[in-house]
Amino acid sequence: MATARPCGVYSVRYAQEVAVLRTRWQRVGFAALLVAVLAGPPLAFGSHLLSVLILSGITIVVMQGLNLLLGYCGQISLGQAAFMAVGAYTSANLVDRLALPFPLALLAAGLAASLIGLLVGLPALRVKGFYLAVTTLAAHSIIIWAALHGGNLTGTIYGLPVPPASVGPWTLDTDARYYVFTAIVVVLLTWFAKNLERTHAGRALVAVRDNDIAAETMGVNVFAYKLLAFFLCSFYAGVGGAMWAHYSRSIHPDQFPFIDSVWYLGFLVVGGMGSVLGPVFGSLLWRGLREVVAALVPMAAAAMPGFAGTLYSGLSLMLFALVIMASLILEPRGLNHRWQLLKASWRLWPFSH
Amino acid sequence: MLRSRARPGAWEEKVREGRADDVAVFCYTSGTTGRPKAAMLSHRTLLAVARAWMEADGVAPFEDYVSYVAPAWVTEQFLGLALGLVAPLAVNFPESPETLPQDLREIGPARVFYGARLWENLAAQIEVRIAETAPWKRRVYRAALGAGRRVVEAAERGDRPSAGLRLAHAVADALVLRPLRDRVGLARLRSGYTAGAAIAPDTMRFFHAHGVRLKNIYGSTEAGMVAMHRDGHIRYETVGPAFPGCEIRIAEDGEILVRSPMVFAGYYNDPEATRARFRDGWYATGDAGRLGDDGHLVYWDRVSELLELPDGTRFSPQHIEVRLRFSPYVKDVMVVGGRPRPFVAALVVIDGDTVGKWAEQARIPYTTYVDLSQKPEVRALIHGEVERVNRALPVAARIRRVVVLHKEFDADEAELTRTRKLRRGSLEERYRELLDAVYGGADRVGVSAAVVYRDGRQGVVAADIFIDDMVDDVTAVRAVARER
Repeated sequence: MATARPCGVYSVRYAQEVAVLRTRWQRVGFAALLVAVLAGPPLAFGSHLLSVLILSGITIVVMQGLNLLLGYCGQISLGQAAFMAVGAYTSANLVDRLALPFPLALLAAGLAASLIGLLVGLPALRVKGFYLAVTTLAAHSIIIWAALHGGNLTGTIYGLPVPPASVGPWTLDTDARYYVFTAIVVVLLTWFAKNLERTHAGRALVAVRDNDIAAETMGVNVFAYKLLAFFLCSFYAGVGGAMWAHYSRSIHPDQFPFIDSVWYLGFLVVGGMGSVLGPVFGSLLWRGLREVVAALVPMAAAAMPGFAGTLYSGLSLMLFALVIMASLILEPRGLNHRWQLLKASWRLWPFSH
Repeated sequence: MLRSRARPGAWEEKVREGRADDVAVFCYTSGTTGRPKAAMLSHRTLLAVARAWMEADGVAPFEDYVSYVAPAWVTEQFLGLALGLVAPLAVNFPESPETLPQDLREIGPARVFYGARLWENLAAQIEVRIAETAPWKRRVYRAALGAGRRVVEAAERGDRPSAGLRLAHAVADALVLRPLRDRVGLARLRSGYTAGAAIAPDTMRFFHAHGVRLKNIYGSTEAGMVAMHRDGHIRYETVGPAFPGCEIRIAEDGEILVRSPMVFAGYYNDPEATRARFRDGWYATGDAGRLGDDGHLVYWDRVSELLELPDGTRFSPQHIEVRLRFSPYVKDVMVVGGRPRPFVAALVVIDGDTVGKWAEQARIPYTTYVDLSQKPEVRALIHGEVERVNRALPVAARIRRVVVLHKEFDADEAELTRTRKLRRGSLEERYRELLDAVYGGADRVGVSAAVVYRDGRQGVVAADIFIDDMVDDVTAVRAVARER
């Protein structure tokens, strides 16, 4: 959606034309937002809220990756949780056994996941839509099977303890420190996604999404860009998985259930595909809803003592599904679209168009 | 450039040869009153205007200016060229007439010169766009504009607004008026100019209430700049106090006389015509006006355009036309009267867009422009506008009969000049039958009108157009009721 600029903001250089932040107020506002996001929560929130935000941040990274694949390139994947697992096991082993610095291990985790992602993406040349989804579903089963039978490397059904992460002299052993690190990673990867969208590669991905035959006739190497999308998607998942591993400090194949891949997909749609803000909205909503369910469970358990054990999974399943259905009916273009409408009406005020 | 390389210093030499009293530009007069003549303006004149302008209106270097006046017109020679080079201004040009609103918004100029029509269009546009918003937005806008209007009214009375009003206005400005100025591209405007007295005082008030500093300027090709409004001293009925360096005197017959370094050097190859315009060293503008005690000049009209009613009252048709055109429903209007005619009458051209929208909202079905213009409801609407203007006029000069015309005035048919001024002579000629009917007491007259249907077909329809009496608004309404 074309958004109008304030009056009197015009370009005299090409660099101004492509700038994301154009006015002084935008720059000041963005800097203030950045400071608030990085420094605000560790100062203001307790450890519970911080942990919710850390998990939200990790979810943003994972969903941002899925958005590059689904939102920009139009390819579906149900393997996001499994790619997270690849990243988690890679980083845990590299830091524990080879004593690799955590930031490097994070990068390696992303690369390992993206190599697997490339393999999974190969069938995308031939199969589309539902069939591609099934292929990635198979990848999920294979990866989790591998984790269960990986011997010492994966700890099989007993899981694996993960050493704490440290960046240079700082050990990320408190929620506040881990939050700041997560926020930095989220900002960097979001910044990358935002800029990718504005490059040749980003436009090629969109061309493949909108019509792959037309894209090919225009000289876009469809297969290469589909693989690029899978590569980036699983890279983000791998980084997210490694962040998860070092935050929870122990990993187990059960932490990467298939249903999470479904929720990533569903809440990406709720947040708004094909926009950088969509994953942010989707992640925050999903994590927020999980907190709502967690708050409801004790009450529901008191009312129905017989079901106490399955209440959490049952309630969350129902609530998430309801939210996704409601969103598809009421705002199929996602929360981001609503946000854009709000922004547009702000910019047109006091007129309507 | 090549020549100067061959002979170094040639360019500088040429510049040195120039004299301040050399002719800088030939400016052709607009030709509303006959054949265009070439007026010679010297460099000295242009520089004097630019310097006086900077002094009078606090022009800062490198302000953005959007040029929407043809350089053939002296205004652009003064503003875009002379002031543009002396101040200097960053002179911007719209990409095309159609993109003017967007370009204006993008540039956000500090100064802009629009003809009265453009300001009126802009005002109508703001009203239409507000009318299309949600009711709560309209209420907020009305409240904010109310605060703006009260501040303007206080300034007009010379009062200082009360603390409560100042606070209300600050809030209204921040929340509504500033954003609105931003949307229409006037957020960074320091001065909006318009020339002559062609703009209705109500239009001026409308913009000032929105926080747009719209200023009248008065001048001509021959006289240079004569008067301009200054910040904080704006009288909406006037064209402002004298321009710096300009002396103004009113002759016995009401003509405005001017003496200043900004007066032109003469008509090219026509010393006879030049001499005819000067009286004892004063340039006779041919315009009638009055100099108020506060030093503000009030412009009436061309001396030759002033009409005299049978009872001896002199009145200016343009004065009435300008005030009627403030209505968003009125696109053009010609006011006639004066000896030997016994009373004043008006031929009104409605604005098809705004009246059409009004008719849709009032659920009045219509087919063509001709049909729309003769609807009793539309005529009643126009009568209301005439009544509003009549109330502010001396009794003798009030409009007695009104015709809503079945077609627009057309520059292609020599009814308007290219700058959309009325060509009275040719209009009187073309509408002679109609005018005879108006003064003959008929209540309708048959015309044949060319129409363009929605599907593009063209045809000619015979229609009756009505001539309505404006004794007072009650009888006009009664007449409409009778027709139904």
